Amino acid sequence: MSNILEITDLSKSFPLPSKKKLEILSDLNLSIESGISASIVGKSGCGKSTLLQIAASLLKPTSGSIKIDGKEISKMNERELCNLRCNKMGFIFQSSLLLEDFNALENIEMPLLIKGESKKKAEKRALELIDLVGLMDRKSHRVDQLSGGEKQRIAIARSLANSPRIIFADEPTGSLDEKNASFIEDMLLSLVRKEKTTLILVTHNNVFADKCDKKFILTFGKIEVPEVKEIKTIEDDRNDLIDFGKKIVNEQGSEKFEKSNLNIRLSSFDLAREDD
Amino acid sequence: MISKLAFRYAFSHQNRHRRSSIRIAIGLLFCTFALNVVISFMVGLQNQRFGSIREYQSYDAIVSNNYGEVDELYNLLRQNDLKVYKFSEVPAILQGENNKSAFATIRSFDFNDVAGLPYEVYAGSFKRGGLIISYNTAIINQLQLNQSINLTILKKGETIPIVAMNLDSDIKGVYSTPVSSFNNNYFLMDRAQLLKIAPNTETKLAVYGNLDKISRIVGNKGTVSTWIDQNESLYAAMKLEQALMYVTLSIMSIIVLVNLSSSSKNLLDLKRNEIAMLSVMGMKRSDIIKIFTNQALVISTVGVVWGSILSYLFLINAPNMIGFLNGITAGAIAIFSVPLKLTFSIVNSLEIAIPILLLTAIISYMGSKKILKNDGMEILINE
Repeated sequence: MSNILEITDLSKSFPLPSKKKLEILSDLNLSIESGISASIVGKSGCGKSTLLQIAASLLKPTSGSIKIDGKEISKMNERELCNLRCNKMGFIFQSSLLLEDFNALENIEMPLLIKGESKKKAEKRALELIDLVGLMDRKSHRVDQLSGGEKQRIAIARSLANSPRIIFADEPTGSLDEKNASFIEDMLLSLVRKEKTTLILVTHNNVFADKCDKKFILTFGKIEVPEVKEIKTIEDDRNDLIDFGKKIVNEQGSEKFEKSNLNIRLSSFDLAREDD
Repeated sequence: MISKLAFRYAFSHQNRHRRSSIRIAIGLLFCTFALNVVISFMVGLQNQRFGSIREYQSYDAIVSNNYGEVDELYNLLRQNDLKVYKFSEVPAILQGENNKSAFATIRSFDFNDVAGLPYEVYAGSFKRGGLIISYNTAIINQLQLNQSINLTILKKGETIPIVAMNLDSDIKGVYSTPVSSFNNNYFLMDRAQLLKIAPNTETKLAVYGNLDKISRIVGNKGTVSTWIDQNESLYAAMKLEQALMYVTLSIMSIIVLVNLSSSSKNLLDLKRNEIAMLSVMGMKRSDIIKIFTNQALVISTVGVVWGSILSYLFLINAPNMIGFLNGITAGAIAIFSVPLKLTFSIVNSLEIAIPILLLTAIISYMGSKKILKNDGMEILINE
């Protein structure tokens, strides 16, 4: 699998009033393959968001090279960056950052209109996505009429609108309660898998991070312990669950297994497979 | 898409800051209205004042022939459909029975022409063989109709420049005009009578009409003295007054524009988040700048256009409104009784509108450009 994102010797420092520099990232190297979901975790202030913003071309690095789909972004001019953002990238922020003067559907349409798609085509795609995130009945609602979770679902739909090759998500569930967060996490992961999009996720939430195909830990400005996880397919997940189910059957009898939540999870997976 | 977004960010119901847009537009509406109306009133007042002077005192032009006879020029001007009258003037001192005296100029014209001239008869009539004085002169000098007076005419002499000549006359009429400077300084007399007393008095032509046309017709056959030449110092004073009026209005405009500038900046700051998000989603900076410059232009155009329409409607109805106010105040407020001719000038309106539109466009252009100098994320962080 080719790398969609390659970061080499990346450093980022911010000037301080005392004329010293605050070094956030130092000679950082990171490669992420195309089509996977990758999470970056680390302590608060370790530079996770800065790394994501630099990778997404929203911040300039102090030094280093960032390649997206093999193209060096630090050498791109404004026009090339705009093309890259509207054709290959999607963004999800912690506070959703929707366009508040537009309704839910128009927010999803916007990346497509910026890309130059016709209004009709943009609306069709937006309707598809708003349906996928389960907010069809809220399509005409203004942003301030949506709850936090609903806003984040619209933000997810918007990030997918232009069928990007890579989505950058900065704490997408950071401002949500546990129940909503879990729902959004599953939805985001299932949608990126469905759309075959790379997801680069920055989060504090280890449970969410573990759901991704790869997990990176950022410590002292460097990717220090890249915890290599085997990339799982839906089939792998299903087999794991079946093995786990068999273990319970052996230990506690089949009746208990039938009644366990696991059965429900297996059914969900079957449904997910049918979707694929 | 740019114009659609600009409209959305200006007055759309979905725009959260619609009230700010409306407030700016209303501010501009009143500013444009006030400037248009004030300029119209000032121009109206000046025109009224100059109009009276031109009509009663100095005519549009006075044409003289340095070689003597003016008949040829008189016929030439009449053939070109211009209102022309022959007249002569000499300085004189009037002394009544109470020994009070008044110094003035006797303006003489053919009393046959009086119907075409604007002097209103207050008492008596324009009759040959007598003097017509103004109502002001009659009051100040306690003179009455048919009263005998002694008139000293200062005529051109053959050996000395001025010869004083005394004669007795009667006051045959009292005239009035709205120009007090004319009333105080002129007596009227039939031209034939004056030429009989002072045969060497020069005859000139009083002409009403377009100054360029008059000059073109006269050519080098005579000398044209325009109403501006004749009222040079007054005209200069009025021009100074006009300049000061424009300075005052400019100061007013600067105050308005400073407020406008601050409101436009505030409006742009309210949209910082949107600007950043559009940039993050890949919209070109130039397109974002166009959207917010167009948004400012839409808001200011709405304000300026409505301000101009409102001032036009006010100015065309002003005479009725002023007449009504004059009626209900029973003429107690002098300004309401001045017969002002108020006009809506498209040129003045454009002179007001264009700087306002330009300024709002420049402020929004510079403002959005400044915001977009930062990277998308820096804008959001600063937010």
